[in-house]
Amino acid sequence: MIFGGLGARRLLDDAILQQLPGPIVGYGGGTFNMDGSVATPDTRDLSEGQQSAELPATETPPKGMFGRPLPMSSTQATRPIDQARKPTFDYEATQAALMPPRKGSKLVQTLADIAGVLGPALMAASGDGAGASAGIAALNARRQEASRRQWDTNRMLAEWKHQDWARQNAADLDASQPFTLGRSRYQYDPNSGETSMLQHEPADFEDYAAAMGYEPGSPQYVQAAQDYILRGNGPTAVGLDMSLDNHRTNNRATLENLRQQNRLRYQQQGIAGRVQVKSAPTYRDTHPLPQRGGGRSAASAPTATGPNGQKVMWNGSAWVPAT
Amino acid sequence: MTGNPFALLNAAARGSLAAQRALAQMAIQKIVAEPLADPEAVVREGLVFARLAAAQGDVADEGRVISLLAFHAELLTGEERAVVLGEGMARYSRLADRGDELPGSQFEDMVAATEPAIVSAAVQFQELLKEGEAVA
Repeated sequence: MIFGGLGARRLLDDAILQQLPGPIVGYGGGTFNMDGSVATPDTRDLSEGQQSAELPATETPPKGMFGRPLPMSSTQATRPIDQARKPTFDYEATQAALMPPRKGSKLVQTLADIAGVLGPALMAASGDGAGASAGIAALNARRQEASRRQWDTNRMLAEWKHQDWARQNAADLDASQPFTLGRSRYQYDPNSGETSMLQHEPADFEDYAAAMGYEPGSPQYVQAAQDYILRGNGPTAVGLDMSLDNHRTNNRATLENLRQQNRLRYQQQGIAGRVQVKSAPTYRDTHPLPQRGGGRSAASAPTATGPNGQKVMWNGSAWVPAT
Repeated sequence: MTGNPFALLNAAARGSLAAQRALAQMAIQKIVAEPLADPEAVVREGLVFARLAAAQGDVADEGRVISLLAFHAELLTGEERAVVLGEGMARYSRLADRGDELPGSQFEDMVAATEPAIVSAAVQFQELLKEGEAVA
């Protein structure tokens, strides 16, 4: 812990304000929404201005043990929440309680003081010096005893008070250690009881979406974030898959169409061919089968063309001119 | 113990100023010398003889009474303390009336620096003291 002792919370506050980016809340510096608008106003500048106006640096009387203003008490006075919840250790009051009052610091002496001097003085003025010194000695002894007891009591109370304060302060310092939650750095403020985010580091998907150049919250940004998380099942990947599928389907449809056209064409050609074949005389048409002879008859005698071109007929034993 | 107080009682009872002073002084010495379980009792007893001596009119004896009253006030708080200091204040005011005021210790300054409860007690004691002197 680099911060220790008095004013640690104050130093921490300033260090954070100066060095850390990102939304800062708490510590009297106002609270800001994520979009940068002011949720609670900054009261710190105003109060510090008042503080410096009331106590210029050149005229500030030395406070505390080391001759400079105590940071805790100076911030204390400006923060109502602290006054309500966190009493700091009052070193000045403790010192005043422990140290005897200076001679002559009290303008008004009490009658007890006056009488304690007056009685012996009267005796001494009348010549009873021994009685006077005895009276003063009695009073002094009593007062020394009383003041010693008072001093012891004050010292004990101051020690108790300081122990209480030191324990609380240590607990507060422990509690105000920054801690990591997820990808953010948080800090608990014991004064206000609220936890503020010091720094937020983007998640991987946010890095990816930002690297793509999209504005946070835009549809493209959201899609990029989903892409990073869902990878092959993200919107972009699914869209590409779908377009590829569409492309293939179109190809298949075209091919099917072509195939169907071819089929139709072949079919039509076949029909045409068959029509053509049917209309032409076949060999059997032109060469019919001969009559199968059973009971031979003249009418049914085979005929042929003779050597002179005359028509001849087989009568069963020789060719004879056909009749 | 700085002597036998009983040896002085006879003379004191017969009005011997020296014996009364010695008894009152004996109480003061006892307070100084020894750590006492009950210093207030010693103070009260010493005050009896101191008042007797002071009634005879000497300024030093009034001073002894005031010394003892101041010491008594150290042991008391609140109203009891105011009463005791009131008697001391009343006695000094009687001295001031007589012109025996100490230089540098004006009675008016005392009144200004005193709590109202003590002053009101002093007024009553003043009346009582005045009546006592009138009887004498």
